[in-house]
Amino acid sequence: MNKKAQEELVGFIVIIVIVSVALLILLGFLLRSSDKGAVESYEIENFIQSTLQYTSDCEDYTEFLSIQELIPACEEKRTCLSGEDSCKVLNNTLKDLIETGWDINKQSAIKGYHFRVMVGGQEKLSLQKGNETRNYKGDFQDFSKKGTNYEVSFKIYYD
Amino acid sequence: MDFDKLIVLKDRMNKYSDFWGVAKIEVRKIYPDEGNVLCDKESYPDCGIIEILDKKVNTAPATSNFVSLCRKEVSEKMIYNKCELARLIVSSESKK
Repeated sequence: MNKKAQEELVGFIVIIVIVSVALLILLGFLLRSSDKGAVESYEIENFIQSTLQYTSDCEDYTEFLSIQELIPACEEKRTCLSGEDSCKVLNNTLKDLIETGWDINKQSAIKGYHFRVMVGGQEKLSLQKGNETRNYKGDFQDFSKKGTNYEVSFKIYYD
Repeated sequence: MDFDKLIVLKDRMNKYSDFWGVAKIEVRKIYPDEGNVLCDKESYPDCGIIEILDKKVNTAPATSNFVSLCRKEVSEKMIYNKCELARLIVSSESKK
């Protein structure tokens, strides 16, 4: 093979390498932008609202309590008519709602969550699972009952 | 969303099929999980999927969001509102 042919071959290989690198960078951008669509802010907002309206199995003398009613009941250390601790029902129901509503695992785009309940500015309940990645979307909802302010916040972490 | 009204609407959907401007509307119960049991007057309320509209055409990727699915429930002592967690799933027709 003469010297000119060798130069042409090297040039061809260089072009192939440059095009491959450019394609990899483009693919990376495309994958990253598709991941951003894994969770939408409006989903978090609606999830919090629907969760607060969920009717739990905790019954008092007048009704079955929604999560929004169960949070103050837990704060007041009340027990359900069945004798169960309202905080235990609250914890278990929230965990079930979150983990059934969101596909959180290593294979999924969603890597973790953090659900918090603040009462009068102090954290009273914290449920967490998975990893807290750099990308997340979250929202909060506040309400008050008997002069006490409650804030429910939820964050979903994804790749 | 009112579960009782959805069941009634589902049965009368042929009157409203052009009202929505989409190809498919479905509500899937998430929690409690009732599986893939289709909702009708017989399976209600222990069912998991309410098919509101299905024009049986090619559809674009669906858009969905969480909703509260509520109905009137009767216990030994009272009638009360029971709300569960569901997802509203809507698909438009794909022109491709």
